[in-house]
Amino acid sequence: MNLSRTSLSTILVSALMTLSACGGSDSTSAVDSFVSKVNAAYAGLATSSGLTSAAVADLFDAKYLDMGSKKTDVLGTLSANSAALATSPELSLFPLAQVTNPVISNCDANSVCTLNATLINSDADTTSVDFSTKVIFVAGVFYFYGDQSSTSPT
Amino acid sequence: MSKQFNLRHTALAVSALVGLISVAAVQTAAAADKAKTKAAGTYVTGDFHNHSTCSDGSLSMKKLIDKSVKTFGLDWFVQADHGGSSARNCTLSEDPFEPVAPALGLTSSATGPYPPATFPSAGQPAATLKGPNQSWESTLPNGRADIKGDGTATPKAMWRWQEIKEFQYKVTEDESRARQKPIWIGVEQNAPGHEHVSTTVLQGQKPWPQAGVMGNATLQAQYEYCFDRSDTDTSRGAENQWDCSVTASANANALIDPTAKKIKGANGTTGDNAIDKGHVKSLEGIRWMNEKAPTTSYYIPAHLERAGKYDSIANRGYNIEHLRDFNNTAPNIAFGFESMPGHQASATRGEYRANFGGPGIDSVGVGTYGGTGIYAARVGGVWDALLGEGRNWWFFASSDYHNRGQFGPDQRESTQDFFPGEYQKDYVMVRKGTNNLSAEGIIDGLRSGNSFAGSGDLIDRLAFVACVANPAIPAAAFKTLVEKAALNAVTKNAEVRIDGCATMGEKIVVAPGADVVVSIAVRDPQGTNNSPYSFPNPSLKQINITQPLNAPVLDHIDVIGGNVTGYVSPTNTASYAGLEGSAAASNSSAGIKKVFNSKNWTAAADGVRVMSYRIAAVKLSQYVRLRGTNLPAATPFETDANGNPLNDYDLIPQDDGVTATIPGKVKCDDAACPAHLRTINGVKYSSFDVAGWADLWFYSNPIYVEVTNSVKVAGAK
Repeated sequence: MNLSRTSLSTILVSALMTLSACGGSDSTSAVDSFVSKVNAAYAGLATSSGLTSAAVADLFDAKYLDMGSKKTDVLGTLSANSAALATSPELSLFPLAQVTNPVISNCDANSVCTLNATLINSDADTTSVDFSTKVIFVAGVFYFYGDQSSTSPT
Repeated sequence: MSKQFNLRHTALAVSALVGLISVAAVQTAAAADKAKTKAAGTYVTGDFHNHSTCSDGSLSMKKLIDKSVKTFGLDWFVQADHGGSSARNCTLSEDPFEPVAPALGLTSSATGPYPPATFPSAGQPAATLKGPNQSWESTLPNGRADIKGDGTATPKAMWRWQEIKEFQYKVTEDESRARQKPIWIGVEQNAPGHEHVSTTVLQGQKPWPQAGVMGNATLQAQYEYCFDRSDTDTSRGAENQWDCSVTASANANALIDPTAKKIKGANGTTGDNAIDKGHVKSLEGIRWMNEKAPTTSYYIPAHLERAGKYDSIANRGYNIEHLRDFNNTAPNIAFGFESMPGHQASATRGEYRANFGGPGIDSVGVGTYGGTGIYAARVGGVWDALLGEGRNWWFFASSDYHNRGQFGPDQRESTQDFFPGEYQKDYVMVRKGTNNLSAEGIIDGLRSGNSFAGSGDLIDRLAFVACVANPAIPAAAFKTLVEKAALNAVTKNAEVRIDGCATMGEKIVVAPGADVVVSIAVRDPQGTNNSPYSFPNPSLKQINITQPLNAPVLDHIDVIGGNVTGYVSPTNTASYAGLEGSAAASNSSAGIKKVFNSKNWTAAADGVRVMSYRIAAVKLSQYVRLRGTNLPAATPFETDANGNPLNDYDLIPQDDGVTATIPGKVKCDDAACPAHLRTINGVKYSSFDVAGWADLWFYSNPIYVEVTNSVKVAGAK
């Protein structure tokens, strides 16, 4: 069962019924809101202030863990980049991307769901890939939750 | 006799002469260009080092060009004979230069079995005193009187400067425009103090796509007159009245001979030939290029291990300090080396061998290693030492075509050389736009380091990219994105253009602790390469792999990395100068960081393989580069347990006698193994061209990762 911007009516009656704060239109707007926040925060990563903004911090659940990287690690890396940008004008920007076509599914009793979406970079040649990650729904808001794996990617 | 290299001796002599070795020219550099400022580009194939009868080659210019850009389809080509002089007129064609029946009575490729017995080509090979083997003196309207400059021999040899300026250039430009490919003329310089260098001074030349009034190779000709060790002409180019001085090079200008208006002599002991004087003259040549044609010249030492270590009295070889000197003098001109030499089908691969320069004067490393000289082939060796300084020092290959040994030029077997494009290729990024495929764009591509080289069409496309990992994007998604970008790029024979990513010859600049994702997409071309042999690869047969020799399969790719510790000052002689294997010529941090093969890469359509490697939490400036081969690790006599190439000279030891007496190491026992292989007591051994086709490699140029609070990578952009 998928939760998407285009198939909203199924939200209430299936997997997300377990989410106490989740209602149909509310959930839909929560998905849209989340993706909007993600894209706005991602776009802001090109600036020093954006790297350390509350908006980017607000994308991640406190229990975020993705291939060994915790929320504090993510924010620490972003903060380090912000600091480096101030002194190193040559610093390479993080590759940026936008998220489209979000579909949320497979929510469990802990409100942890699967987000399937498309990641697009359009710096020069458009690169588009489908991806999947875990998100968590808390008080009507989605957050990145990560794969909860402590294994670092190689 | 060789003279033992003496660091102090050299350093003192050089500084006493001219003080030319400047403090390392640390350049400021920006990170990789923003994606949108990079015009879309394509990798194009070419070769810049080959010979005609205007030096010691065997073909006319026209036939050599035809082989290179038509038969073997190179996109660009540089005809580069030795400097000095020659008696033969390479501008005359083989007779007739038109499609003819295959030479030497071989089976026609149109009717013979596949693979065809001959290469389709125009022009019968010329016999002695026919076609391009005729002398200048016998073929010019006024004979000897038309040959300028010094000389008393009969027939009189023509200085290369005159050949280039008055005769060869026109043929080159005509061929370029007629074939609609960038083809221009360079010189394989006999470098004073050293052995050979592939050079170009393009300024003035107008190869395709330029049109209209003919250009000229006057500056290339002048460079040859001024700086080739074998050009002892003192005429100043006759009516040209050249002066070889370089502005603001007062000390070196003081060495200029008042009559010849050039620095005479080379390495030696006294007078014109003083200790290290040749090296000084070579540096002056680079400086001259930088003054006259700073963006359209290059200086790339050729087969630089072959002649052995540097000798301050004789003129041979290069040690690492000379490469550093070259790069310091003009990093925009001296930016790499041909460590994958030509002559890959010769009796000793690349012509590297023991006693190359006489008794006791071995090639450095003695042999090649998988067809590559030890300076690039040894992980942690000379190349890694230069990259470990953060220099822009790139890897190139060349065919160095002269002849096919006991075979004719249209035959497919060879006991000496392969044609340009037949076996080795340089793949160079050329950006599209107003200059699209042009000689200038190709030289820009060579200089950029955005290139790779390989043999036997092991791979024909490569997208190699390093991106600073965006921590706000889930790691798997980010990896997938970068891999897809690499896949897209290789599909288009292009590069990845994403902000925060760098490709070969470039750098990314990251904060300490950042992760870097390295993605690679290569294409292992399907079908057959140019090898005429379809019997099983004898090297692989040792390990029970049956693979046609003309249908190689990429076995694995090594990701090699090392740390960057900054430029070494010339005054730090212990770290700046030394022989292969010394601390000065090593990078102890370099190693194989990751191995990819069919077990951990993703196979895509059309022979494309995609893979990624994540460098976690970088703290030190570093680089990554690639090599790959068709041979698994621990292939006897070919690769060691770590996959490093073994010494080809051990596989194919030299026979000093005319008749082979020393067995090879790998038997070629298929019924189709050709008769020309080394054969002892009826046993054939993998050798000559078969040994070359059996052992294929590619090398990428590096990508640098500069960490903001670590060492600056000064040589890369």
